[in-house]
Amino acid sequence: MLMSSRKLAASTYAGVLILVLVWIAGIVSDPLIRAAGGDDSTLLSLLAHAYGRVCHQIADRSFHIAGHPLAVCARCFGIYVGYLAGLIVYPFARSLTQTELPPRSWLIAALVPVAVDVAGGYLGIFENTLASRALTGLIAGAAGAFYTLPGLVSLAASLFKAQTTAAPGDEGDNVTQGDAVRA
Amino acid sequence: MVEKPNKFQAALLAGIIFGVLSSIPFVNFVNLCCCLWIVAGGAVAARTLINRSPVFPVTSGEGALVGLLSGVISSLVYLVVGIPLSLLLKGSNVALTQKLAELVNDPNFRSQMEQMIRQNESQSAAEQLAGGLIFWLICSVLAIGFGALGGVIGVAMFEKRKGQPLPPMPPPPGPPGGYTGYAPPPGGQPPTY
Repeated sequence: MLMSSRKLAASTYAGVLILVLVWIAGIVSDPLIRAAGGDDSTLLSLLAHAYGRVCHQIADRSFHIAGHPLAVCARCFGIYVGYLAGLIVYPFARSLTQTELPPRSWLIAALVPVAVDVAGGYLGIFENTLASRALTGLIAGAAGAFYTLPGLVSLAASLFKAQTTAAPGDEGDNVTQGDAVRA
Repeated sequence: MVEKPNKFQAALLAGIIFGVLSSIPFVNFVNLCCCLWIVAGGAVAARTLINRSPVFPVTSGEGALVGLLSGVISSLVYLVVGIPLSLLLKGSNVALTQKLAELVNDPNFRSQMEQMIRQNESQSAAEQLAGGLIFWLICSVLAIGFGALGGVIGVAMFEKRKGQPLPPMPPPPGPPGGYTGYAPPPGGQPPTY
């Protein structure tokens, strides 16, 4: 299947965006269903177990909606919302077809606040709060989008064998230079 | 021609190691931090691929693919090792969770743990197996996604060669000794390469 690299990158971006939106909707829908008095125990159990695989779900460490905790803790919620924010900002900051990763130092710098927050809390140096957990997670998540989206676009290019000739106006396109050639 | 390293081999070892870590009770609690074992598995698989690729820089897409494969392998290891292990160690798991619940100061968290223990005790082996298989399906989807993310993060962290030009091709093997250079055929055109 041949597809211009720009279309492929846009499709991959849209797919990732939808997946992240669904993932966050699942987190928020758990307390909303409970607040609405929903008794669909199968759905609630499925949601609890799905998010329970990736988060400790301690209620005291989670944001609440109408008195019910979200399906993940504040830090995880911050990471996912940050990832979504990063995805939304991404097309304005760099080309979707660009598969070169940003400098590694930025990723490390983005992970430092969350590492300090976790370490400070565990070592008893300071008491971290819901806001500090969410904010540091938000920074890490937003940076994560800038590092993972190029990889996913590049993966899609190699899986779907993107057209090696860029569509007109595809300046800076390098989806296929390193990937389709190697595929 | 320089061969590209095998992605499956790079993913296999990381997938098995981090699949086993994700299967061992209590050690697998690390996965409660955004699937950290699985993300680490993807990153280690990417690192292995980078180490095995002395000529070509590993692209972010290759990192995603090898991380994805690592996630698939980890989820298969969890099916073969993790689910039987959780069924076998049900009794000791309950006892250990009870001890942990006694140590926890947070009353809400303690009540959650106690509820989990009661649920665990009331389930039959068949119910546990069915529940384990459903969890495995959920885990597999998550492991594939988080593994791919780990692979890309691994490339971002460990791949230092950015768009380096390919090394020059080695000269073709020459004819045995005594060759002194090209001699054009009598009256003929020299070959074009």
